[in-house]
Amino acid sequence: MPQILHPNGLAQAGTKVGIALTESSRKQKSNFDNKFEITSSPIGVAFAQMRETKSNGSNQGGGNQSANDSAEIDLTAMDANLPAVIDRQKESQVERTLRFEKDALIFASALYGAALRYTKNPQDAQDLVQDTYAKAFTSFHQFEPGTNLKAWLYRILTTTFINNYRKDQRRPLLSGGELEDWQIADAASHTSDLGKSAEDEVLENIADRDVKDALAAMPEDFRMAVYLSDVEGFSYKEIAEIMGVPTGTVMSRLHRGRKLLRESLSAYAKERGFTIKGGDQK
Amino acid sequence: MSCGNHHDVPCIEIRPLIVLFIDQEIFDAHQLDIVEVHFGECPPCKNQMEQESQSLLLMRNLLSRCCNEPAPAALHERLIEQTQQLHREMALRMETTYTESTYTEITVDGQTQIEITRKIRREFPRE
Repeated sequence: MPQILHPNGLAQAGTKVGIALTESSRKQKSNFDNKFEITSSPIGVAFAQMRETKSNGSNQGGGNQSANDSAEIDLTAMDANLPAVIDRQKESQVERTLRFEKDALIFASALYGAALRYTKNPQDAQDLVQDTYAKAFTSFHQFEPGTNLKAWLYRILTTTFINNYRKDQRRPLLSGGELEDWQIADAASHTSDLGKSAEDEVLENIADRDVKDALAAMPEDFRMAVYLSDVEGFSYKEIAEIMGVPTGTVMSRLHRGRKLLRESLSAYAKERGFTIKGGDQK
Repeated sequence: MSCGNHHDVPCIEIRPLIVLFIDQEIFDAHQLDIVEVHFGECPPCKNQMEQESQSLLLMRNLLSRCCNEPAPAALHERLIEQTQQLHREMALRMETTYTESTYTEITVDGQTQIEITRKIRREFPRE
């Protein structure tokens, strides 16, 4: 009589047969055990039980309670330590969507922050994040579980921005013109003649608005490098992957970008009338 | 630029590594060791590292303070909606097949018999 059994059902059947087997049939028993092990690994059982719990909404009888509990504990441990065990070949679309919602959507706020810096405009930033998630969802089967999901999402965000959002407002690398020209010239010619710590003191008083403006006025590639490193904390290597450039390029963009930002913040501070000594406003 | 004292590795070779040291981007243990030893014996280089490190920290704090706008709640809602919508579209484009296979175990003496039917579900895009 053919019947469909769950892997956890199989476990019970296997036990019963194992008891019934005689000494003479040891060879066959071991064959059975081998096959059994292949077809239902503990992880398979955990997933099967999870699906069962989810689809039924309630447990079938008290006997299942502890089994379900332990399956859930196993899953949590798996998520924390072994995300790479997810078999994308066997994963159903429903499972993949659930995984996407759980793992990827939590980065929405972080991506929005980056999108704001990229587009400089809340509406475009929201659209960019939405487009990013649409692309991420449709290619989520290509993402290798256990690797850096955040960096993967940032890479999609960055390439989407470069390809779709920058085009219509494509301007020379240096946005705005004369401001960046003197900034670069200044940054290249000399470092600040003031003591660094004195300058730090001034910068501490600078308003958020000015920091945002200074960041927004920076050349795009520098701005991205500085944002990804100093706000998001990505490593040079991760930024290289996100921006699709060699690590050496990241280093030069980041270091020039930091220098530019610093110079520009000092300029804002002077404009606002902060004096070096004491940081008072005139 | 040198502090005038003799070091195994001259200051001029250490200076470009300072920013890498601060960014924790020196992965070669031997190189890291050289830089750390140099800081131990060369106060000017160590001083520069500390100043640069402090400046960078300040800059990071300024940036983080001004760049922490949370995404609007409406965006979160739209993202969930969009995901569900894309999921439905994708499910329509997927074909689900079931493969059924039956496997029979019989003990040698024929006393015990067990039939196992496995149903395998597969999804692949409709072309």
